[in-house]
Amino acid sequence: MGTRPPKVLLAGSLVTGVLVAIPLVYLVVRTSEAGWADVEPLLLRGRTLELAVNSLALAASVAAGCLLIGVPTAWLITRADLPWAPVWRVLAALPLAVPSYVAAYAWVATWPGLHGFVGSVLVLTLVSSPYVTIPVAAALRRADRDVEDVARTLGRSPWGAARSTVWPQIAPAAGAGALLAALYALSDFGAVAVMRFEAFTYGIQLAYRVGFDRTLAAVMALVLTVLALLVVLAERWFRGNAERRQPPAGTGAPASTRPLGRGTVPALTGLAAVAVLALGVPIVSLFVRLAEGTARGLEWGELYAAAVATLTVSSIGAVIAIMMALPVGLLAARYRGRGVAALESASYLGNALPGIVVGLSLVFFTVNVVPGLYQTSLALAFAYAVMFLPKAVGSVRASMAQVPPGLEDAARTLGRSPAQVWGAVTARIALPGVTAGALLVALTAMKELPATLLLRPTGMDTLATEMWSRTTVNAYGSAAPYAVTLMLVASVPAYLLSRPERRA
Amino acid sequence: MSLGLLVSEVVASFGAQRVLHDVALELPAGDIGAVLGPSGSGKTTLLRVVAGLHRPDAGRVEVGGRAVNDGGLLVAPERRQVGLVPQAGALFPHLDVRQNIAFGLRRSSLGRAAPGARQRNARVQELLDLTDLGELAHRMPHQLSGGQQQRVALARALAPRPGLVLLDEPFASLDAALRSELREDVRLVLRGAGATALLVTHDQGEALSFADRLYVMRGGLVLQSGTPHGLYDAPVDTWVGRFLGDAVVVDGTSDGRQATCVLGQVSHTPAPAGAVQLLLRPEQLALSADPGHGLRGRVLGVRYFGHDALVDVEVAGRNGTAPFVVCSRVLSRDVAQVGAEVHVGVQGSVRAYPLG
Repeated sequence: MGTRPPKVLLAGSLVTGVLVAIPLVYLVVRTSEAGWADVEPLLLRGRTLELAVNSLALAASVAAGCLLIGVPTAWLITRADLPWAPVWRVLAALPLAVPSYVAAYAWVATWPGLHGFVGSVLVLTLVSSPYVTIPVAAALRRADRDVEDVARTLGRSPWGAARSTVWPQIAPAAGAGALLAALYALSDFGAVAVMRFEAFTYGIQLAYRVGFDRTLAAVMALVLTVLALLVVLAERWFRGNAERRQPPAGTGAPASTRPLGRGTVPALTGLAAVAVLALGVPIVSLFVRLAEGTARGLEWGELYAAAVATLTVSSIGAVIAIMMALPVGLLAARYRGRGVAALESASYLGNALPGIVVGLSLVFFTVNVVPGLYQTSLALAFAYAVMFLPKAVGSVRASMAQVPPGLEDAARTLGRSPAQVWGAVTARIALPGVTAGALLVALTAMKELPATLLLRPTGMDTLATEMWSRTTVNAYGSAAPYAVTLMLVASVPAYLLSRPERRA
Repeated sequence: MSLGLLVSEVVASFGAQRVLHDVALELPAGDIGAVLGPSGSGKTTLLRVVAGLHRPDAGRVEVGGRAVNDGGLLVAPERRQVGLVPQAGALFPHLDVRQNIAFGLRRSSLGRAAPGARQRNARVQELLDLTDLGELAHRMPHQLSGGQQQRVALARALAPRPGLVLLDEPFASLDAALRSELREDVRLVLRGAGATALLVTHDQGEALSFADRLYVMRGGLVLQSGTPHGLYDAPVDTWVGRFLGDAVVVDGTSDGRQATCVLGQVSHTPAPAGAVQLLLRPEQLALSADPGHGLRGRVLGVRYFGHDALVDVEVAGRNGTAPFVVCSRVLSRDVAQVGAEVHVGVQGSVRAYPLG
């Protein structure tokens, strides 16, 4: 087996790279067409600055809130002798199952006075705290317990040993998690729109829909993308640190849990309070609205049509994403090198592109370059594929990594040709992981809102847009069935994420 | 003789499962001890009890003459002055070599004042020199090889001058060549520091060559303790005998000093007359081409080690009993060909264990 990647894989990856770059590149093209003279005043006016300050304040507050909730929660669910520990573990991850606009809708429907900055921070912190909890809990499970024991024998108290050995091992994970939460807050459209908080995303939507100022919308989208890219770069730096600090070999006894003693009641109270705010409030509120809504008669036909449309377009998106991910994931799993690393990084661009940016740019692109695709399901599915490609590449890569090259060598020596080895061994072992990746993309795409609002074909409604349009006219009761369906859909990946990873 | 470590009547469990039943051992100050046992024998739990990381159900532990476990008394690990070298080193991943070694030098303990910065640096330098790590002082743990990591872990444990150093299978994750080299280095460093040390291992070769005193554990009990030589020569039963090295065990009938067995008449250590089991080491079985030398047999196979070799010989049973296989250790120049006819003789006195 040579170390040079096959040309087919390289070519495929290049195609993926080009496709992924379309939204960002076209946004730049569209902005530069307007000319600097037109762009400069838009860029430098006070309103842009105000939106940027709003968005950054929101992102920073959400990140801080997530750290405050996530780090103690992670410690409690991994290291403390907690009653009903498995239940808390799942509850800590489930907020991911609440789409931000569903949570915002639930809060506003119950407390109509809640809005603006405070409401946005509250809702976004509650739904994105698992971005900190899950990686910190994983780092705590991986953290070398022997290190803590050694610190004890070298004269540190239990708390002192934890501070000087455990904290440095989880700090990079906590930092990376907080930045993911910040990115989520920066890119979020639904919650801030429901809360009427003038963050960047909401401002872009207003400029495009209300002001019909396409150049302004494009300029603002570009600024937002730059902010998001900075956060993504910072997150990668933190995550790189986290990986370097992993213990060289996982050994030692599995972590024994620490008795909480008198701390049990406060700990349980804290965990329960977070669970009630993040899950209890939305669920109870939804079911109260659902009861009201169904009392007035549920329009099954519309719900069914929206469900079918959602399923169809998100499945197409998942298939495109996996097709784009296959060459990149295969390359990344098997070949190292600068070119490969660059291609893999490019495929992660979707993480830095807020939905509203992808939506807007593809509207411009289809209208001006491929009018045949304007407002088609295919354009929408492509938007999903670009946005959620990182998930697809990650799962392709992870499933390929489960097939050690030694296994393929063994199959070759047992008399199989390379193609036969691929079919009988590699693909067979990697298939479940790749399928799970496709499912994850489809489930994530089903609850996508801002790009769907901009790109959906006229007359087509998905679960998310149906719910959205009903919420915006305060028809909370009739929005509830859609919100409940969306939460059920989203709880599948959240549950999968809550399972403790197996030790290698 | 002052004791570096005393363990007596220690009982410990994991939940409902008892892993240590009445364990006792004594290690003189300045000596290197080794606890040897198969996995599941409770040896790691014993080490964690001594370190104060596992609370025993009962029993007494003294480190350097000071009680650290006794009835209700349970001294916290940070107050025991016990150093620990875990299996994979467990270096602090965020600190460099120098900072790792200095980690334990910050606190005052037991009436000793906290060392000043100058003393601390001097002590770190001393250990860097002792463990030959000077050039690596500013490396991070992930930049070190496995053997280097273990040397740092040892230096870190020794830095605060602990009363006792505990080593938990510290060589297990290294490859064979490096293992024996590092083992010798570690022994010299411990000797140089004058430290009392207790090694936990499942590798009998390691235990025999590393320790002054050996404690063989099985099923949560110390079966036998003593010098490596004493234990190898006079194991308390056939299980310990086989665990410590290659052995041939045969049944026989004894008159108290001599026994009749498939190998003929052999003299043995004193034992009550009657049915016995005889334990022979391969080096007690000599091979010869001379027919007058012993029992006739045929070479089945040879395991060659370079300096010496183990030769498996199939011996025809006496008086029509089934043929059986014995194993003899010979110098490599005396190795016989597979299939060759040889004669097997027993040299010296063997160990006898009464049956029943």
